[in-house]
Amino acid sequence: MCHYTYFVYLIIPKITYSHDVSILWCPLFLSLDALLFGRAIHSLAKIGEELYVEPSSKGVAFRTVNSSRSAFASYTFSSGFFSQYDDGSLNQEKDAGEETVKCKVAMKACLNVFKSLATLERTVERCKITLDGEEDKLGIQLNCRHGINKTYNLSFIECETLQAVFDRESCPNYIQSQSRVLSDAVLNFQLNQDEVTLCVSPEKIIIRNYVEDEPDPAKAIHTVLTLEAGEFDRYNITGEGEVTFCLKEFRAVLTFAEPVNLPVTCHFSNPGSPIIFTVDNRPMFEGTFVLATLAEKSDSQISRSQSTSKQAAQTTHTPKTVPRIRSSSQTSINRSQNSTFDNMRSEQSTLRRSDQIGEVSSRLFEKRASLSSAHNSSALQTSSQSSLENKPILPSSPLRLARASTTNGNTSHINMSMRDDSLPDLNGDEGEREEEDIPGTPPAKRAKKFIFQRCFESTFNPEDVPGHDRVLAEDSDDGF
Amino acid sequence: MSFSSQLDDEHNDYQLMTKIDNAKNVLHLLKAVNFRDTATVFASSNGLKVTVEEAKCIQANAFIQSDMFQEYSIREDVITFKVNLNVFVECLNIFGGSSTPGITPALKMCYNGYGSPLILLLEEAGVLTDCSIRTQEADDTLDFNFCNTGVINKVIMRSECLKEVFSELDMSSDVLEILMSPDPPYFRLSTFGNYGTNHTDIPRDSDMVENFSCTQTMTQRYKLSLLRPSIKPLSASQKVSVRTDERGFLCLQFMIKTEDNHICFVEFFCCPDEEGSE
Repeated sequence: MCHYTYFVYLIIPKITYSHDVSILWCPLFLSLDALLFGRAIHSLAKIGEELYVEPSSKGVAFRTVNSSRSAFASYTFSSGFFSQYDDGSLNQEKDAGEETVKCKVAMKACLNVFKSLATLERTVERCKITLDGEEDKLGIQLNCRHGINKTYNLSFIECETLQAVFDRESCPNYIQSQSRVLSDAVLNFQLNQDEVTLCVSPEKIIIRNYVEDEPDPAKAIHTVLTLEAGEFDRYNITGEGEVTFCLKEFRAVLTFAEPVNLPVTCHFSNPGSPIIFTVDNRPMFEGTFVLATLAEKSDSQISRSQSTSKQAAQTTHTPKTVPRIRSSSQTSINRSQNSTFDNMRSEQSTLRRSDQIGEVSSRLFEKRASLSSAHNSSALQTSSQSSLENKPILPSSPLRLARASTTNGNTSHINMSMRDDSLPDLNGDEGEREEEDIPGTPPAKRAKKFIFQRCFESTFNPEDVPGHDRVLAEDSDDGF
Repeated sequence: MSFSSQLDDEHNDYQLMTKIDNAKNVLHLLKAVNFRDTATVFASSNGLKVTVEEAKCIQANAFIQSDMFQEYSIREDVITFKVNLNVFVECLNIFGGSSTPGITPALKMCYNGYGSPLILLLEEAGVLTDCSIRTQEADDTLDFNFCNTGVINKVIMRSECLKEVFSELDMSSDVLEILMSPDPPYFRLSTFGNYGTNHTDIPRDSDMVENFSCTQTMTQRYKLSLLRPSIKPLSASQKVSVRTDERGFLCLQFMIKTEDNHICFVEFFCCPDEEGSE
């Protein structure tokens, strides 16, 4: 596993929704295309374990994020896509500033409904999705041929919106290609290939499989595929560059795009900034995948050593040998060392609202991009080695998502955020407030063996036992 | 396909002797009920009934009528014995699945009363196999006492739609709830699994439903694990009849058409689940 930069989600605060208020909130979406839904769900299921359903007046979004928070996927269906659309806002007793409720369901449960795409295509005529605010149930009703109706009731949990912060328009590079071209390209890579690198230039793109620290470089399989600029529908690459991202997650995009025969657009800037894949069929629907990319621009052949501490000192990076970042004071210290962070801090304070539930540390990607490039160059100058378990050069604060908390009891959090608002320099406080233990980059698989190598050694060495050389009873012979 | 003379017996002094040109017909029926190792065979002048039971809660019966056979002779009124069904099915399938079209394995089955083995002689394309399967004393089989007069609700439908429903059932649910009613939703199968509650409704006016006669609204739950053996005969059948009686017992009857266009039936009984009954 390589180091990914982290997304930080900007939480749109809301929800004064309370169970005390009797809600008739019942959004309803009726679609004639269950197959498309099914494809979207299958595609999302390849990314995350939970499906976030977010209805709004304009349409409904189905979103997910993966467990390491390095991939975000969202399919938005506009209200025009449905033959009947009601986001439930009319029924809802609205207080000022209240938005429709967002919820999440188990991805497996949804997948169970749309399990067989062949059956969906063959038999399902209509698909109706309802959200029952009182029973906390997501209802999916499939009207099939021969008058058969299938109803599925899945429990949901209310939650905050799931949203990645990214700015597609500010990405200098973008390409658009028929999904067929990309899936043919991707066929050339092994199924277990985790990551690929796109090496772009104004004339062509080279797709390489990304080889991690391989003890014997000669044993690694290298796959290199070149696509000329002419093979793309749109090709706008400003300079030379490389981005590395997770192939498995990209396949999820193609799972959806290829059968519906839509082109895929790719926006990216420099390493560390996310790469954004879009399947655009607006105004009907749009699919967006935001994948983290490798932060540092390192040659895959560079062997990594455990020079974390050295690295850390040079790049103002805390010695993080453990991926799980309890991003408390450590990160805050780092931030104070970099003025750019202060800028971001102040931005955060304006974004944060007082009634927010859950912890937020929002960092905009644009800032990230500039930061990462600055660090990249410094990283390259100071050390040609990077360590396996090195987090991104940036002291990354792992993704923060407001946790589903439907109670109003988090007044303590609310107070803290208010306090933070007033402080210009929030370095220390930010750290204290982060109580959520959201895992950071998982370490590279080989790093585990490296870090925990003692665990793999046999622990019992007879010679360590004191007095082992004093024999009290000889071994008896085999023959009796 | 006529029998080779090798199989003909000049003296037929078996208690039960049957001959059929295509053993596959018998094979498919037996396979449909082969969810346990042993089966009890009841032979009468009407034909053979092969019964398989489990947990004293479910019973499957495959009926192989005497007119399916080219020759069928029985000396007693009723002959019963218990036999290892796995072995029986394996023997019938001795020539394997695929064969050149037009050539079918012929079967001669003989049984000579209490204690004697079940003898199978199979021949295909000149190759002869004879099997002798030990028999046992027949156990008492359950009598579900399911009589037509006690039937409250009955639905006959084409098997395809039920096949699909069963294949997509949420297996994490312990029970399958069957609701049959003269009012909507008419016929509803429900599961209560890890992913939530799922319902499948088949209305009475669906073109998959051939006959719908429900007098009362009845909801019964059956253990899904016990119903699972019914999926095999369901897949093999063209039509299925679902009946429940006043005690809540379920009777499924599957109409299976053999290769020779013979109509055969497999019957399946199941007790309702007492625990979670509403």
